[in-house]
Amino acid sequence: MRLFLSGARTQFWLMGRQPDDLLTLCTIPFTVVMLLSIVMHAARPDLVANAFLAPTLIGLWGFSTGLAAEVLVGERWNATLQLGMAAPGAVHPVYLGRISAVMVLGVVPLGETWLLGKLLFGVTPPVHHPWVFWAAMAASVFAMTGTSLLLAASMLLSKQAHHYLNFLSFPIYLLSGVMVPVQYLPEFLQPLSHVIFLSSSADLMRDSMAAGPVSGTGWRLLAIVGLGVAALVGGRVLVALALRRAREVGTVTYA
Amino acid sequence: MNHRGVTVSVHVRNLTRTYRKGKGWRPKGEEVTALDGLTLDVPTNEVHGLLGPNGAGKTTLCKILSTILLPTSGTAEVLGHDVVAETDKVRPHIGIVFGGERGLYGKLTARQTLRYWAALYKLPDARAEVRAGELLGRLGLADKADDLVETYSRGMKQRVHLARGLIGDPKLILFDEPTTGMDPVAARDFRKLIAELRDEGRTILITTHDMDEAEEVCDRVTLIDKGRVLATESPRGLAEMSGLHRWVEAETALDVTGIPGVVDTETRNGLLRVKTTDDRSARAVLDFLLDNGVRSVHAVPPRLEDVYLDLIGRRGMEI
Repeated sequence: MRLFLSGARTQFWLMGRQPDDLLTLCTIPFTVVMLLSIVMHAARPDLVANAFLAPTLIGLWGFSTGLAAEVLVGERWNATLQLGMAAPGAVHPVYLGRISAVMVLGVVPLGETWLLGKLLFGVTPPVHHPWVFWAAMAASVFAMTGTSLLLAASMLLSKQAHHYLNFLSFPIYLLSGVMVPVQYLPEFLQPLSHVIFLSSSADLMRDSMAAGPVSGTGWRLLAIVGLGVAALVGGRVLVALALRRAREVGTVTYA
Repeated sequence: MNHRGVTVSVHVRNLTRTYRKGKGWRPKGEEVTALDGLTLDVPTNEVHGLLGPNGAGKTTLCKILSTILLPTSGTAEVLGHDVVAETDKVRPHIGIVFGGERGLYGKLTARQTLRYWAALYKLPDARAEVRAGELLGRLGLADKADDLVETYSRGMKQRVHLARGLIGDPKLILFDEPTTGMDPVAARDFRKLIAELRDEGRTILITTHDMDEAEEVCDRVTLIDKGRVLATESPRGLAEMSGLHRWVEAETALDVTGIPGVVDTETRNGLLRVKTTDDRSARAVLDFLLDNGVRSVHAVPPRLEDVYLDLIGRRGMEI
């Protein structure tokens, strides 16, 4: 736990002094304006919740791919990865702590979206089941942390992972139902969304904002957390594999 | 302990490390040999220098000893523990200091840097705070301890590297070109630090291109080329046993090139250095200079740099 906390504390120190790490926050207003403009122009108040959720979850994904997933390759580039590997303490909890610190910031787009909605369009969506909403948000941050570890390890294993990650973002937004509810997608695409935890997050958060009762909250939360745990375990295994391979092949640092 | 009954901190036998060039999961390009059956013992509490040209395998050896790289074959033990099978027993006792700009977080202060690494070296928070303060003071960084590392000069950054390497109170310290970028004063202080660390009972393995530094701080040096050990001896002993030319130095502008046995001459800052084939020729040069009224004259054994150049070869820019 000390290693995890040390990693988190260090990441907060670093982010506090690197404003460009927070660029994701600068992209949020564009998404908010775009989606709310469409919804308001079309006079579809029933879609306001969707217009607020999309920038929030896109921001979470943005912090994951833009910063958290870069932690390990950044370490390799900085030649601190090799120093960590030679230290007696395990590096996994340290890097998980650093990734977790980034993902805590992933909550900021939520406040930013609400604030922009209020300031620019004079609307904020009602949240009829706030506890469910926050529980879903917390579960989503946890699951995104696991996913980020998985992505960070992938980046260490393949230099091409960067390109795939850039490509992946839009399909993820679509298949996860972040922008458009999954039930509106073509039927053959819908099964794919089940393996993406963000689809469960988006559905549950959307339901928590609606007036009607939320069914199966526990199971749905469990599904998000379960997918997060799977990603976390997968990420842990992949980090070990990536570090082992780096020791074998000699790619612990860039030449 | 080796067969001579000496306690050794580093015990390397037939160590080989090869790389394959190319990309992909399993690179299939040309095989490059970084270490080629290297054998080496470093006794406990010795300052041991690794000398060799770029690409000789010095850094690769340091990385294997510090458990960062896996050897292709052969064995390496640090403090009696295998660096492949017993990494958990090796790592608490080693400190590594790699030279250069990388390896530091520019956006952290020196104190934060040490606290981060103290956690990775499993120091409790209170102990980490004390240890960081001690090291910052020892390395002359106390006044700037809370400034960002990115604002430091190159020499100061190198001192942060040193402090980081010492955070775990290691028994074996691996220095890879530690004085790179240091000004002469900082380099002198570093040499003093090496002596202090040895006095504290630590073993030090240091790679360097600075022959004067190696001559001054190292108890023994190993010359490495193409992944193989060429020689291991004390700097003086290496020079003595190398059978190299003897040198005569004198403050004069006299021409001695006609004396039999004189191989080469060079003049630096008014000091004539005469390279001779053997002791007899050196004696002839001395006699000639004294007979011609030169009073400041003496014979000197070959320097480590001469031995290095003789054994490694004058390759210039060739790697």
